[in-house]
Amino acid sequence: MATTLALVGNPNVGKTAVFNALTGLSATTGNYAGVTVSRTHGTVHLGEIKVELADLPGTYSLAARSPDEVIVADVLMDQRDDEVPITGIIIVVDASNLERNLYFLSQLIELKKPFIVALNMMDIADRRGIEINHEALSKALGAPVVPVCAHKRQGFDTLRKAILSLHMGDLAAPEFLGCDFPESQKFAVGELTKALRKNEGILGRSIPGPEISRILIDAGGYAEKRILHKLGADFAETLAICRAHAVENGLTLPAQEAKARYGWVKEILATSVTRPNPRRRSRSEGIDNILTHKVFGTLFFVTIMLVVFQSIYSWAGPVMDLVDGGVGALGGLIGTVLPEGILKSLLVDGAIAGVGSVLIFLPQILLLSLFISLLEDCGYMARAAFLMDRLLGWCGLSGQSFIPMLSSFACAIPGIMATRTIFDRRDRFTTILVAPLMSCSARLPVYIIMIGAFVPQTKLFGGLLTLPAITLLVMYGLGVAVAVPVAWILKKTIFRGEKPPLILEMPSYKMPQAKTVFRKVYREGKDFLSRAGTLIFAVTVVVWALAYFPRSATIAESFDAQRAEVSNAGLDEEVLAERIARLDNLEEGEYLRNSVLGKAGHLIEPVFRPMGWDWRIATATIASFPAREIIVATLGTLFNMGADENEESEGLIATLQGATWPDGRPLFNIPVALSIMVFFALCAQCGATLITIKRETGQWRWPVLAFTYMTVLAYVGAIVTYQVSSLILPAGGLG
Amino acid sequence: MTIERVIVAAIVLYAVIYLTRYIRRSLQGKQTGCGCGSETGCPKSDSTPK
Repeated sequence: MATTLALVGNPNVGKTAVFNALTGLSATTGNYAGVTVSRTHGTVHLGEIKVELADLPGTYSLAARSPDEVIVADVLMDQRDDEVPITGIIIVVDASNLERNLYFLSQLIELKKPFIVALNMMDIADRRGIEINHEALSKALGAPVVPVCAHKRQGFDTLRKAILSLHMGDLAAPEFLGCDFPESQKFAVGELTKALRKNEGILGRSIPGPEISRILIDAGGYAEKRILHKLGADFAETLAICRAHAVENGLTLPAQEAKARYGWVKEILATSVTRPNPRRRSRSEGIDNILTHKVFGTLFFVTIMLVVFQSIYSWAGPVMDLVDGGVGALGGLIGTVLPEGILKSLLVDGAIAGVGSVLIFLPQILLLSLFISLLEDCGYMARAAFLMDRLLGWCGLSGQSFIPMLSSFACAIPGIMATRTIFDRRDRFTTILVAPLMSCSARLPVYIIMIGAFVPQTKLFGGLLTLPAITLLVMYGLGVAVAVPVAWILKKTIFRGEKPPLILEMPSYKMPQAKTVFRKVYREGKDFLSRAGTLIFAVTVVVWALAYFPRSATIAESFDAQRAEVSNAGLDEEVLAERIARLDNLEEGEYLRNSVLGKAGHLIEPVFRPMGWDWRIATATIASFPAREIIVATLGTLFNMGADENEESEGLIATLQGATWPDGRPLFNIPVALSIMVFFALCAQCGATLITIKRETGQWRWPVLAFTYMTVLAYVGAIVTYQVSSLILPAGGLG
Repeated sequence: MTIERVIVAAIVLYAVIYLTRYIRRSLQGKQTGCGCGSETGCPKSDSTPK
């Protein structure tokens, strides 16, 4: 029989690091709770033998409330159709916090499956002076206890041997568990079991013992809801009677359970763990006194964000110029090799101008990803979530929503998936609906290009900061600033409810690991490049085709006649060349205006005129609804096709700076740039995000709501920004 | 000139087919659009317990 093991443990104990070390895979890890929100499968190779391993989300108990906890409970109790039954368990425990970790273990023992304990973070326990006799612990638990240090890959040979023993059937499930539950509770469990047995036909399955305990103890929990959903109100009465019988000494059922389990944990630890007395204050606690301080912590947070955005500008510039130069040189090379014609236009004006415009932002994307990875891996994110609890408290959300929102700064999709850790449905749905407002990395190119072209390089604070960096920070802050009132409205209307309390575990600070950080940055870069080479290339080609065809013979004849007229006018060579070049450009502009895209663009232009946009910006925006980074490629193609010849070799920023309305007025100015940025900051231009919202909520109405409110917000926000900034800022011209 | 047109038509056709497939796969929930952080494939939908 094949062996399938479940890898479980409390949040942020290093399960995924253990998983990666055992399987050789590279699933995402992070130094904060809730990184793993779904199952990841891998194979442990033990010579010729293969053992399947499922990395499950972290949980403190089998009392499932949030969707990720439900996954763990269901998989461990073999209650999922889409999973093979689990034959054994590896529980990863934090050696520096054994008491709480063993509470969960006490529940796992009741599943009656063989298990192995991986004692992780031994280095932190050593630093804190905690001595663990793992042999005594192993004896007390009746299962192998293997000390490991996942990030240093230490102790894995022993862990593999233990897995091999489990596979060979040498490990049996422990028979004895000494948790001292009251007799009344045991009796109630027995009565509830009998009642459920009678209803197995309706339920369509046999309810395992540990789940029966959860139904009894967790009032309003997932296990109860699932049973009542099938058995209805009559069974609710039976359950209430059982609960009344179970209570003893005036304690609630959860309190009875906690007392029994922690009593058992205390006995186990008494024989195997020695702690320093008095308890030493850890280094992390000292740092937290400052970083979670109301004033100093907030100041640190703002400073770190300013440093991040200033660095994106200061450090990425030279590499960006290099990529830009490379793209320009490639376009120039193809331009000289290929003759004038349709293929040259497709490659130079379409593919290279479009995809190249996006590619130059790779350095910024990598830098942003590097900073986010560093902050995640050192353990700062949980502190940021704690600080944000105050801000989010105003809108009825807790700091629990902050981690998903923070993840959305890289990409909304993992952010929305990270909401599985939120147990309150109303809070989870509110967070899902506001998460796409966070500025993901796809918005960065839009900000960089608009700020680079139209925001002056004014130095502030003695040259430490520049106006573009502050503008970028403001654009990133806009998402959060809008998310707060939107969440407030949602929590006051469709998701009305109390603000849940924030229960947050502060992970120990640690030096970010180069390998983990590099892996995240590499993955981000790979995703970006693969999208540029596939989706963006495809859209660019289609946009080019729509902007190129039809080629009207009438226009060609008219301009040929004008060129002939100019050639026969007896002008000197220089003036003649200039006139011919101007006619060529006018001809290209005429073709563009009469193309399919041009005609459609002019049709929708009036809708976007209040934002100061012409049909090209409007068309590029509409084209970027499937994925917002398409805007840059589309602007690159459209403005290159209509551009003056001498601008062709310059970057997109220079091309946009030189773009004009038909009457010669500059098309772009600061108000237009601001309105474009605000539109992109607030609009839901990401098909994949909307699909993920549908998948996570199970209903189409939520992505429809997210799309509708964000589009309306973006449209109104862009109009207001343009109109107000036009009144305040000097008209026209470049900044 | 004809070869040039054939090449362009092939590229445009490829782009149209790619986009159609992309949209179809997205609607089926197969395309996540960006990395889900797992080398072993993007996670299954977790909404169907027994």
